[in-house]
Amino acid sequence: MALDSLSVSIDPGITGLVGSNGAGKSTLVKILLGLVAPSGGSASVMGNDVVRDQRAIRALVGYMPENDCLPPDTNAAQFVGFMARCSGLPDGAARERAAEVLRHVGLFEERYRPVGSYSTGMAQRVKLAQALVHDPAILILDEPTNGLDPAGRDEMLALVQRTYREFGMSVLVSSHLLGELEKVCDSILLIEQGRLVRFERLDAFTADTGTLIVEIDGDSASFEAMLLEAGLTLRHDNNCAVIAVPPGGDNLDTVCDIVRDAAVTTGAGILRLERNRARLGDVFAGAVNA
Amino acid sequence: MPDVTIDSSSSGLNSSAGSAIHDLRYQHYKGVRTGAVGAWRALYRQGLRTMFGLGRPARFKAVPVFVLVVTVLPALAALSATSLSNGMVPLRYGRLIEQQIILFALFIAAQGPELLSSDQQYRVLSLILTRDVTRMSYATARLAALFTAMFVVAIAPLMTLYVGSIGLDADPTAAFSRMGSQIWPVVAQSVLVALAVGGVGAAVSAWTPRRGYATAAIIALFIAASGVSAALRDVDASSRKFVELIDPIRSLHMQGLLLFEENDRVATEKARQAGAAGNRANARARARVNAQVPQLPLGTYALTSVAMGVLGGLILVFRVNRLQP
Repeated sequence: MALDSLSVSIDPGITGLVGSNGAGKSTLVKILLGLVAPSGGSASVMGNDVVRDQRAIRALVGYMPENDCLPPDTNAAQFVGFMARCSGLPDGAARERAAEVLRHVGLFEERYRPVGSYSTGMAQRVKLAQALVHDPAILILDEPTNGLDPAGRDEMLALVQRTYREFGMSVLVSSHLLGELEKVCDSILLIEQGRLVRFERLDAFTADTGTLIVEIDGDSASFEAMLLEAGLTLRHDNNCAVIAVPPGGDNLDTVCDIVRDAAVTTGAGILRLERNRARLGDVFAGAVNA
Repeated sequence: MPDVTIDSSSSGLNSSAGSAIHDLRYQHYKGVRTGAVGAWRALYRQGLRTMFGLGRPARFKAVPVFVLVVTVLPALAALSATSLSNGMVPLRYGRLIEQQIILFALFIAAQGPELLSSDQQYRVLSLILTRDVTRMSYATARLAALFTAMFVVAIAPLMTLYVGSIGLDADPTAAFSRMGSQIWPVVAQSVLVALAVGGVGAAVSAWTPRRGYATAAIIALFIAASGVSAALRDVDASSRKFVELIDPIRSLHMQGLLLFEENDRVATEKARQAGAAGNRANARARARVNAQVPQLPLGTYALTSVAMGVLGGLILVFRVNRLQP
């Protein structure tokens, strides 16, 4: 059984679906799309049951599959236009929408080249374009960054982010890499062996850890000594001083003032001064290894 | 959800400067959606284009063009022979059909897998099924495209002959009124060829995502059927008539002879030749004549063709329903 006792309700926004290979991400996606019938339980997309109201869901959802799905001998404009027609768009509209979404994913110039000649990054964009072409309300992207180099990943994730911010489409994006999702997601759904491990909004995960990171250029030993003298607790981490901020209203300002004064006194230049937020990876480290 | 529709009147820049500022922001689609019917039509039309290699590189057009040229050329040759001999050499639809059915089989063997197997090979099918397309509508649209393409290819030479014979007549109008009813055998033969040959193509192509395997399998099936039919023909005299139904190439030819009412002409001609050959060879010659003459009524041949089309279609539907998404 790929999915077991997984109950979750996803709000609008960008939701990351995280899990290692075989965790059940693709199965969940296929159930939501109505491609696979659940052996038990129920699922619905915007109030439409995945078994009964498949038709309605298909108009609402754009799907970018994980695997290759492009016929190499057709060009991108033809293929995306064909997908638009398969969603019931009339010819003229399909052609216009295909050109429009290909422009949005940055393939306007190359749209008449055969898809087979595209790089992996370009192929992924065509796959994203075909998911957008019928103007769905929800996008389901299965591993959109698969096989991309770091620059390609960033571009793809920026596109995903724009899709929600500018186009207003909610996105469910799956990945086995937690790190890349934390940059773009509003909430994260973590599943492992078909079971829900955690589902929360991202700001809850990366809440303030109650520490301040200071990186200085100069005599860090005397700088840190001054801070300790002022009654602060700190530890040295990676060329930075991580200072604990006692909970309370004005404490952050007070700590910042002390840091400023210490820097002035020791003649050190402050390179970085920021509130330390938890990294998503740290939050999930326990859950994933469990 | 943020609303990203654009109201140009709210922006003073657009109208006042007299030059348009093109807003390239995303626009939501608010037009008509034709739903499942439009999706079916799209699949059918794209399928038909695929069958002829349209909108694809030249190498995909090679087989359709080759088959069309090679089947239409004999029709043109027959027309010119009739025309040059002032009608002394009669037009024979049936004889033309004989050599062409194997070419139709070649067309289906090359293009059927192009249509059906490649959707599986490149996993486009699983993507199509997330659209407003059910497995049933996918199968029926592709099947319709396959049959239509085969029909077009099958009718091209017969239609050339038909139109040509009217056009070459001294009085085309009179010829048309005389021959108007002869269009029906042309259409009927083409429909039945499309069903029989297309049915084989659909049934085989659906089973493999590898186009090469499907092509080889279709050709092998036609050759094997022909061989099996020939081998069984001599076994038992009573079942011999029905044995020829196993061979689609042969039974489609016989069906054509009956449709164009050329079976008697073939028989008498062969008999005359046999007579000329002398008494010793008579027995063998008569056997050969029998092999060239339809042994069954037209309805049996036609029903077999229809059954092949239906069976091929059912196999395709069955297979598409069983495919993993």
